[in-house]
Amino acid sequence: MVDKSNEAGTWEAFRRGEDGAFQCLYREHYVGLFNYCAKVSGSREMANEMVIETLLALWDKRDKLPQVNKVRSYLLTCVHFTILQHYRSEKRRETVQSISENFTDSVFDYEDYFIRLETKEQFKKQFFKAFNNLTARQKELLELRYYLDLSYDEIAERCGITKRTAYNIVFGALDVLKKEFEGTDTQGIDPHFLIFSLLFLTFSLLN
Amino acid sequence: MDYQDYGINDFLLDDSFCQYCAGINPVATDFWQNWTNAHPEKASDIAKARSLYYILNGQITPQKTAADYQVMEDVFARHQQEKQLPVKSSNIRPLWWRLASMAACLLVVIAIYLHKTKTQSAQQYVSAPGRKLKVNLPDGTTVILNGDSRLTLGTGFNKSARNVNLDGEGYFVVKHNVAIPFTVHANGISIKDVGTIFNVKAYHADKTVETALIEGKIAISMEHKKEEVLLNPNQKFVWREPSAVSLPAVHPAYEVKTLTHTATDKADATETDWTRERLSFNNISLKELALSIERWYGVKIQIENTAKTEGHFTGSFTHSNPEQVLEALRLSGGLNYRKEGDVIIIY
Repeated sequence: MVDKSNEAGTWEAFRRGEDGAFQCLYREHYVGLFNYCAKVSGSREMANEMVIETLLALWDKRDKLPQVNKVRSYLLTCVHFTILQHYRSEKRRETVQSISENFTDSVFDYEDYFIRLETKEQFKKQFFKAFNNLTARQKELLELRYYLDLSYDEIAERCGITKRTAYNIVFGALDVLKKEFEGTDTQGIDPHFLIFSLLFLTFSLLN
Repeated sequence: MDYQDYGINDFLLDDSFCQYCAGINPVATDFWQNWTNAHPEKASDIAKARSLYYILNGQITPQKTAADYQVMEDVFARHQQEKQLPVKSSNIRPLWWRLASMAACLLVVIAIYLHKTKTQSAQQYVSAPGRKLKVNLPDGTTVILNGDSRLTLGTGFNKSARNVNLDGEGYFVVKHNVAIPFTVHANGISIKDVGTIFNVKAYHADKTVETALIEGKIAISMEHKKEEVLLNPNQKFVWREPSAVSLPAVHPAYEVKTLTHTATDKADATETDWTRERLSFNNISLKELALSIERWYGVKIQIENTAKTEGHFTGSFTHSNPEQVLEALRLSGGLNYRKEGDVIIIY
């Protein structure tokens, strides 16, 4: 989420086909579009390709593009269409259905996502427990702000609350989650590593 | 703005800090790197804030951003080049020629369309090296795919049969259905099963098939052989593609062994440790170990011929990174490693 006051500027530069405008637009919306793609299509591997494909298609039609006030919303719609096209062409009808359902309302499956995280099992359990203690509202806002990378203005509009309220909800949620990090040492040798290097030492004795 | 008073929350509420974490804004990255260096007493808080940020944003790190950005640059550059190629047009051809070529094109298009509608695109699941993928098949069977693996469903899956093709390693929990048998095909071996939990390790590159049975019963048949091998729980079947050198009489094509258990954990079999986030290996060669590390962590390893390749390795790692595994190798004596760009070299 780069400086939003410049968002209009980037879009205009993109429409005019200015040098570097493509890269600029990509950079500004990368996090939000990538994660949206990953969530809706269920594939993290294809997400970047689909975002690039969407932007390229827009670039080719840049002189016909409208002036847009809410660039992110516009781009999300375009990306969504790209995803549907991909799945239609592969004739996966059930997936097309579930994608349409996923469009705005389903909550991100954090549990499934946590399981794939490459962190210590113990920490994952603790963190997920703390995360589950958050209210549905808090979880939703965290997803909107950090996963989908929306600005507080965009969040406020989407949820029908004030910007101040949005801030407070996120702050409260972070307050709960940050406790899982306090008291943990981010440095130091992993004890598992020491134990298992002994296994190799026994190998060297045998050899 | 006195960032020195910032707690973890405050950093995460700051837009430029978030941009720095994600690596999407060079200006923000510059600022925050300099600020962190100038304030070492805040290093711990900043590190924790970053960790929390990555958990919340789906693990989009500066490395990931840079990699995806590079892909975008390449694709865009290519796209721009293609757009600039002049379109050759010639109006010299006579009308009959143009009609004939249009008819020919139409025939080709129809032929391709017919061919495509005949061959159903097979459903495929692919896991990248270093990543596991949990898959729910349409019949209710679940499969956990280990790194660098590909599972393809046969045509008409779950109609009269359930056939799948595996290149890689998968942990199968098969939904019981006597009427529609479930068969895994890998490297020319067929593993037929009715309602069972088993592990298949069959990377095409390895030319071996290992299947470990946890629960139930499976029947294994090999190409060109009439006999079927039946496995009971806690047994495993190991098959090696016969090379031109070894005589079948001396080195049998397959053997049935009991599952191995490491000293630390008698209950669970080593063969399925990978589903429990543990990289385990039992009496394997250095070459096999390197392959395992490559697939598990998604890194590239080269073994120089000066390295001592004799000797077998046994070990078990939980939640480690490749550097820790290699350090253990180094401490065990005789093997060293260095990194050259993206590649780890063992010498």
